[in-house]
Parts: sequence; structure tokens; C-alpha cells
Amino acid sequence: MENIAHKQTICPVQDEDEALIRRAKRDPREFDALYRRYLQPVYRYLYSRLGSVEDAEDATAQTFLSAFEGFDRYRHDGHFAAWLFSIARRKAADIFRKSSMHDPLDDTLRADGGDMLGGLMDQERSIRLKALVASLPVEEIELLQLRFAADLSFAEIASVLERKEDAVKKSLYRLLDRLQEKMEVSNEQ
Amino acid sequence: MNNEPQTHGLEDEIRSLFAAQEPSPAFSAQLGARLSKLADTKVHQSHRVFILRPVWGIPAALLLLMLVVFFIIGPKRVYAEVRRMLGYIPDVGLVDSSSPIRVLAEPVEQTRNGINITVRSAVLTADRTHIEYLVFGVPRDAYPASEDISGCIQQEYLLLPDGTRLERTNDYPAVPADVNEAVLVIPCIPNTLPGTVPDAWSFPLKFVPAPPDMTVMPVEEVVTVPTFTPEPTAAAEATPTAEASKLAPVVERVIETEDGYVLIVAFNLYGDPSVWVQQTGPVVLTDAAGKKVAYSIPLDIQNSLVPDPNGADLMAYKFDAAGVQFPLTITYPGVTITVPDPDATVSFTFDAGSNPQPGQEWRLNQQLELAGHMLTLVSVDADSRRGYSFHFKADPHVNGVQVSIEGYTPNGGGGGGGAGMTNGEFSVSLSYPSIPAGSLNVTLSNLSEVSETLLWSTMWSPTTPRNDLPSSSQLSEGMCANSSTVTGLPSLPASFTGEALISRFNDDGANMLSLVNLDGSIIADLSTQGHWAATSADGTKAGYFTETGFTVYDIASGVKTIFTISGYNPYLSTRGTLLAYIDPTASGVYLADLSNGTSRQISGKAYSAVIGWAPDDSEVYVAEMAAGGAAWQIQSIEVQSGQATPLFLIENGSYKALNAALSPDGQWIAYRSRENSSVYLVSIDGSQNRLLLDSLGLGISGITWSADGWLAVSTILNYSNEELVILVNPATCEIYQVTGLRATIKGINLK
Repeated sequence: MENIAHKQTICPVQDEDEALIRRAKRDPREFDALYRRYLQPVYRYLYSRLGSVEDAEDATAQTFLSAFEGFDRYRHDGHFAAWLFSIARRKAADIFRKSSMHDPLDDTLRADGGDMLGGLMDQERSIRLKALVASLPVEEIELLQLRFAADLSFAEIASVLERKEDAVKKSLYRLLDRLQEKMEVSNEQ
Repeated sequence: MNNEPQTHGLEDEIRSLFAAQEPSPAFSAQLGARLSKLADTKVHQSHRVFILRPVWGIPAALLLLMLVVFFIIGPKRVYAEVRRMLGYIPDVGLVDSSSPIRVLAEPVEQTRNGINITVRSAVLTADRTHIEYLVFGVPRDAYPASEDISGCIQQEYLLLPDGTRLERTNDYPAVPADVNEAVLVIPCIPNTLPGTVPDAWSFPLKFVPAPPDMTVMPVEEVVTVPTFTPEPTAAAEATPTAEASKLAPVVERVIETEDGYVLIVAFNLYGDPSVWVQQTGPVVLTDAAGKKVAYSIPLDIQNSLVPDPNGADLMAYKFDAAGVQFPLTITYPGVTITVPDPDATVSFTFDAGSNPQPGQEWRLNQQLELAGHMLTLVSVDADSRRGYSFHFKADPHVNGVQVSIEGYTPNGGGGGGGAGMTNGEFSVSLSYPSIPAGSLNVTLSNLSEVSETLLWSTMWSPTTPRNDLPSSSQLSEGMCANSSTVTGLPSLPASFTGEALISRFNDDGANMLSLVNLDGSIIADLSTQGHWAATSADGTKAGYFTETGFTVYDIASGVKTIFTISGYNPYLSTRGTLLAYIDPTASGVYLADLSNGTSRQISGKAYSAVIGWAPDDSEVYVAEMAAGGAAWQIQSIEVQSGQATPLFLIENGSYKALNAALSPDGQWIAYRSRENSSVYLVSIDGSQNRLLLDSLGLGISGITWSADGWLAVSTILNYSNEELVILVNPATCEIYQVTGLRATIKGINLK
């Protein structure tokens, strides 16, 4: 049987990452390119987790500072994004532990608390979707955040969550299916 | 079979939901500049002549020794040698126990301006330094009120006597074995504003040898000869391939716990380059009698696993061994994926028009033959990432294809094979710097096929049989239900009547706060916004926050009274005349007098949760979460004077939300456990802490008491969000499932 490892899903993003990582390993000043590449998704993810600009900026800063400090220990395994978001996830948890008394995943999307979405959520369907997402278990909200706020691949999400890629994929598809069904049912009312 | 949902429009909507915020240019530039400065420093340092300072002598010598050993006996054996040195310390994880372990000689505490920081514990091993400290008493107004202002983000560090700074990532690096003092420097309390609270905290720490009775569980190495057992499930047609047979899970390490074992299992899905394996379901543990064995993944161990040098996935599985008949079989379900004809391609032309727009869809239903399979390209849609998603349908043996558009280089993508779980339906997404337009030449290649589901398994038995475990699964003392008994609990007898306040997901997909009878029949739907709600202990009133304020609902008359206050975490006093709550926009715990609509602050401390009222309404009880570590301080606050009295610490409660509830007689507190799926009970003086409900599903969603001392608990059973409500009498362990209520419990009144 032929070696098919190289024929798995092609991901130019990963190739580009590899080049940036190699450069940053040689010269720490090149880490700036990785920073610029991942600032927006990391910030979006953390904002969606923490629900406030101050916390998101705090966690984003801590994530990149830790990533920079720990970059020498990063294993060159082609999963830089997963590694970075694992740090971001821990930073979010740290900030949450230090600064909140209730579940941030619950609250950033709570229908009665979400000024973060103000202005965008003026459509009736969007409001319904927001309420639906807010009512999900925290694990499922985080799955959506990693996929749609952080734009991670299934493999990367699996690595961040320490789950199997297929399990992640299956969970997300089932979740989307359920959300779609709920949205359609409410559209028919 | 689980099909990939046709939810692409929905995906874009969810993406929009999360894309509402971008980092400010000022913040981006500031952080970028900080990283640049660090990078410059690093470059400068790397150009210095490398001179070992004395404190690094020992670690350097060890490193040198490791390198010598590495070259003499080879990397795999070094890895094995390192693994043999491991021990397990609960809440710390796997540690290198080859050197004597040290701990903090004694807690170090400082109080400045009412803020208390206590360094409570430290564990120093050959590989790392684990330090726990707690911060209490930070006023809410020390934190930024405006979202465009950041508080302090300086990290704490350990300062060694020779001036070496050990920076924290997860834990601190190891402190050299001959250094028994260090200073923990906390430059500022995280996220506080300059000048609001004392900063520059320094804690001199002394380290001493760990006491002989410190729990360090040995980690046993397992020598296993892999048994290659992939086999098709059910009446599968496929025969396991020889290549697939080269893979097998291996039990690498075992930790014997008080109740059972932790197995650390390696499964290298990529161990054979000639075959591509994907796991398609959760691992199953089965005992010799064919019974499924429930397990959990202990995060302290999982997070401390050293990556396998060969790239194998390492997972830790913890299970109770009472009643388990060995050998235990550990089974991974999965599929193999192969490319039958790597050279086969098929091309077609797709006209996207001159100006394709996100959300635009082309229904093609085009038939294409590739590598002996017929594929239908059902549709193509343009997405918000300047690209296209191609949606395919094929026979169930097709896993996926590669898609390319001639002349365009994508900068991202996703999707692909369904690994046999999507009945031949799959999608491929590609994104570009700018969206390709016009007539596009699209090529499909590398069609991959998926096998039937295969099972890879290994078996394990303890080296020495244990005689300290009961022969069958039993509830431990004081426990009223666990994961084994929960689904078999009797239904609530009809003799129990009353009302419950629940938050449920109705058929319209909306979250509804409802007052219901115990059989689930609805008395009144109160609000679609009432996530924060409670009932009064006397059962006469329900109250909940909405965007318009706090609504008190008189259960007998159905009359609603709205108070224009905003907040969350409401607790009505025993008679429902007072309300304690958290005001997120002001600071701390507030008290509203519902007889006249006035409210006032009774605590300015940040991050407190109201947990209940004293029976005579003279005191409010709160749990204040510590910064820097997972502990909650239980306090009583006198309503009249605002005087707060610290009572005791809860140290095994949830990191997320404690969900604590004080019993109406003021004697007991029930709360959610660290891993969120269990419920503990503790006396109001901090004694008699006991595990009441153990591991009931994914997470406890609600805890509330009835006036006569029954505890109602709701738990989320699975990822379908199915909930179960349990009613338990903690004094007698009389326990029922309230089958009519499949919702989050907010309050209960038994008659």
C-alpha cells in the first residue's frame, strides 16, 4: 500500500505556519509574524469566552507573552495553532478563576446579558440563534467558539480539547444539526 | 448514522455571532511592541558568552548525565528511564519523583488594606515547582469599570537567593535541590487598576522535605506485548487489513488508587505510515463479564503527561475497580482510510459569475466519476472567508476528495472526509486571499475510501489481585447516588406534590422560565429571559431578573411586581420580602427591600456569590471566590450592619460556578464539585464535608432546597442537553428522580 500520509487534507495555512515557525526559531524577532497572524483569532476566541474587552486584552497579552516565553519548548509537530489556543484556553480559565464568580461561557452569550452582540443581533433570527447558543452546555459553546471564533480546524480543536478529531467533528455536526433543527422549527411557527 | 448537517448558512451566522469584536489598534500595537522588546532582549542574551551560574550546576550536571545516557542507551530507553521516575501527587499530577520531594515549610500570609494573600502550599519536584496561593478581599472597584481599560497583567515569579527569576507558565521550573528558600513576587493583583490596591507583594518561602505520609502514588510501568485485534463490528464485510493489524493500544502505566486504578494508555494511530487510521468513537472499557466500566479522565494526570516520543496519543482513564472482573478490555473504535488510485483525477468547469457574494449558492447536482466511485457535487456556496465550500454525496465507502481550483492558491481550508460517519456526504472548503471569480476549472483528486468500523483493543489485569475492594460497586458512606445508581433511581411517588421553578428549553428553541407542578405540567410560563431566578423559602414567591428589572411573582395570586433593579444571582429571603443579589455594574453584594423598592450595597468585595439567607433573615451568606487558586470563602454578612464574618473555605468546589445553596435551617451548604458533576454537602461550621452525589453526568446545572430540607439537583446527562432532576433527603438518603422535570431546577416548594 502506498504511503498516503501526505495526501491527507492539504492545509496551506499549516505550511505557512511552518515557515514562520522555522524563522522564529532562528530569530526570536520573527515571532512578530506569528503574533500578527494569530492576534485576531486569539482575541476573538478570548473575547467570545470572556465577554469583555478588558479580559480579552488581558488574556490575549498573557497568551502571546507565554507563547513567546515557551516558544523554545514548542514541539515542531505541525500544530502551532492548537498549541497557541491551548495556552489561550488556560489563560481564559486563569482570568476566569481570578475575576469571575460564574461561568463566563454561560454569560457572554446569555440572552439577558449580551451587550457584546448589541447592534448585530437586531434581527429576530439572530436573537433566536443567540438565545439558542446561550442555552447550550459550556462544552458545546466552546466547541462553537473554537470553530467559528478561532477558525481552528477539527484536528486543531481536537488537540486543544484533548479529544479525538472524529469525536470533535461528530459533536460539532450533531450540534449544528440540532441548532439548525431548532431554528427551522421556530421559523415554521 | 450521523450525517454532516447542511448548515452552512447557520455556520456563517454563528461566525458572525462571534466576530463582533476586533482588538483595538492601540492594544495590538502595544502588545506587539512589548513582544518586540522581549525578542530584542532574547537576541541580545543569546549573544552573550554562556557561563553557568552556580545554581544551575546541578541541573546542568543532570542534563549532561541525561545526554550521556541518551547517547549510550538511545532515546527510547532514556524516555523509559524518565518514565520510571514518575509518581502521582493528587491535584499536582505526574511528577518526577527521582529526587526527594520538598514542600512549603508553612503557609505564608500577608494582609494589607483588607486584602489577604496566603501562599498555602508548594510542591517541589525534580521537574517543576507547583505553588498555590489565594487572594481574598479585593474590592470590586479595584477592577476597571470601563472595558477599554486594562488592569495589571504582570506575571508573578519566584526569585531565588542568587537573583535568578523563575517565570511561571503553568507551574514554575524546578528549584535546584540545594536551594531551600525563595521569594514569591506578585507584582500586582491580576487585573487591578494601578493605585487601587497594594502592589509589590513579596512572600519569603521556605522549603522542607515532604512529610513521610505525603501521598505520592507509585506509577507502575507495564510491560505489554501488543495484541493486534482490529476486527470489524457487527456483520462487517471488510476484513482487517494486515497494515491495520500493526497498530494496537498499549497500557503503558498504571496507578493504583484507593478505589481502583488509573490506566495510561498509548495508541499510536500514526504508528504505521502505510495506513491512515481515524478514531470514530469514545474508548470503551469492558470487564471480563462483558460489563461496561465507567471511567473519567483525571485532568491533573492528563495535563502532566509527557508527550510520547513516537507521537502516540496518551490518555489517562480512571475507574473504580469494585466489582470489576479482570481482565479489562480497552477498545478503540475507528476506521482505516486509503487512497485506492492516487493518480485518478476528474475536472469540471464551474461558473461563479463575475461577482460572487458570500452566502451565494449554486445547486449543481453534477455527477462525477473518480477512482471507481460516482460522486454527486450537490452544491457549491461562497462563504465569508473569501472562498467556496463544495458539498458532495457519494456511496458510504467514500471518505473524501481533494479539491483545487486551477490558477488559485488557497490560504486556508477545511472539511474533508466524513470517516465513515456521514454516509458518504462530505464537504470541502477552500479560502483565498480574494475570492476566485468567473469560469473556474475545478479538479478533484485523491479520493479516499473508508473501511467499516474496526475495533482496536488491548487487555489489562492488575499484577496483584487486590483484596481491599468490595466485590460489587457500592455507595460510599454518606453518598446517596453515583453514576452507577442514578439512572435506576425510583420515580418520585405521587404522594409528593408541590411546585418547581425551572428553566427549560421549549419546542420553539427558547429558554423558558416556568413554574410547574412536580409532574411537569405547567402552571405558568414566566419569562424567556429568566436564567437567574429563585423561590422564597416559604414557597409563596418566585423571583427572576429580566432586562426590565427584577420580577416578583406571587405564586398564589399570579400577580407580578417589577422592581427596576438589575443584577444576577438572586436569593429571596425566607419570607420573600428581601432580595440579596449581585450588581454587576456597581460593586458587590446588594440588598433590596421589596416592601419599598430600595436597595443598598452590603459588600463591596468582588466575585462573591449569594448562597442563601439565615432562617431569621438577619444574615446573608455569600461565597467569595479566591483569585490565584480555586477556593471559595464562605462568609455571613449581617443585614443591618454589613459586618462580614469569614466562616470557612471550600477547596473542592467548582472552578466555574459553585452553585452553592444554604439549607433553609441554615445548617448545611450544598455545592458543586471541582469537576462540576458531583454535589458535596458541608455543615455551616465547615465540618462534616461529604460527597452526596457522585459523578451524575456532564455537570450539575442547579441546586436548591425545599423548605423542609429536601435537596433538588438538576444534572445534564449528555451532550444532547438532556437533564434529570433528583430529589434527595440528605439526612436519610431517601432519593428519587423527578421524571416530569427535564430541566434546570431553580427552586422547589414541596407541600
